[in-house]
Amino acid sequence: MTVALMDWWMLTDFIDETICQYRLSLKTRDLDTAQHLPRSWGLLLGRFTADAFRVQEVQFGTNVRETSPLVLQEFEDVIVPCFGSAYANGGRGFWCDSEDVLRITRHAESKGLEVLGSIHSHPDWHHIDPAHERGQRLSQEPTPMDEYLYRNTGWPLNLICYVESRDNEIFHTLGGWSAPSYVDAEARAQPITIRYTLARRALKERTL
Amino acid sequence: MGAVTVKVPTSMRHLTGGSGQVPADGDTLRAVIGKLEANYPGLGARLVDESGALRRFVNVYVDDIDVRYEQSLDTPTPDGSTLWVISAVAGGS
Repeated sequence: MTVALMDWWMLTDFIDETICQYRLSLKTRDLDTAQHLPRSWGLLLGRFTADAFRVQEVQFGTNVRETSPLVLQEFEDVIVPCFGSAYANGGRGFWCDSEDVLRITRHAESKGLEVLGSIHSHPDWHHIDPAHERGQRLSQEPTPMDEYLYRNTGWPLNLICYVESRDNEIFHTLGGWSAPSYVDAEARAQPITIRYTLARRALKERTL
Repeated sequence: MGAVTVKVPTSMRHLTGGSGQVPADGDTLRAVIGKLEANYPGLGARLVDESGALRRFVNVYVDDIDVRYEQSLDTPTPDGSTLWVISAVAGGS
């Protein structure tokens, strides 16, 4: 079994951005047109062994989902026809600028780290609307569209942060997923257990 | 013939026996990919589709040059250059 090990504080910037995005979407929840779709994401850097990923850093890049001709073509040719018209909305999904992936890869290498994969948020569309998104019921599990992207990108660690509001509070669940096999179309993303640091040292030195 | 270093992302390391950096040679990206496929079966197919075009989920940089905006697979690969294979990072919501 593969596990992902991390310090909770390492996700602080991502969580702050997720909350900011989510609150902006709540402000426009009663409108029937897309005003603000909460979207936050980042790249995961760290090290890995045979049975564990040690996530040590989150880096952020530029989203070219709505600007790259290549990406727009992929959505038009494959993603929208296969996974639904909701993805015709440029506010749905993210795609990191390859220049930023290269920059972050070099940054990781300079620190003796690797790019392991990504993290992104899933909001509770069915609670927050806007109206045209009501049919979406997401969770910390990958959607079929996520699985398609994970299969084709192949990154070994993919985290999804599900965000849900109840009684004026915001909650979250973090899910970890492998990439489905590239050569087996029937393969599915498999869960990866996430463990957070409990103590910085397993053995505490005795002080006299 | 140009000897190059190829940086392999973690997303494709299962095809290189875990190596993050492998040697290859060739005067163009097309030739280098041919050598990669010969030495690491399956790696070339992750980079190039059935029509022979670079896959949308992959970017290749020769040093700092994005080959998609140069000569694509015919981009020269000078001796001593570094090829960065970059998998796309993408997801939905």
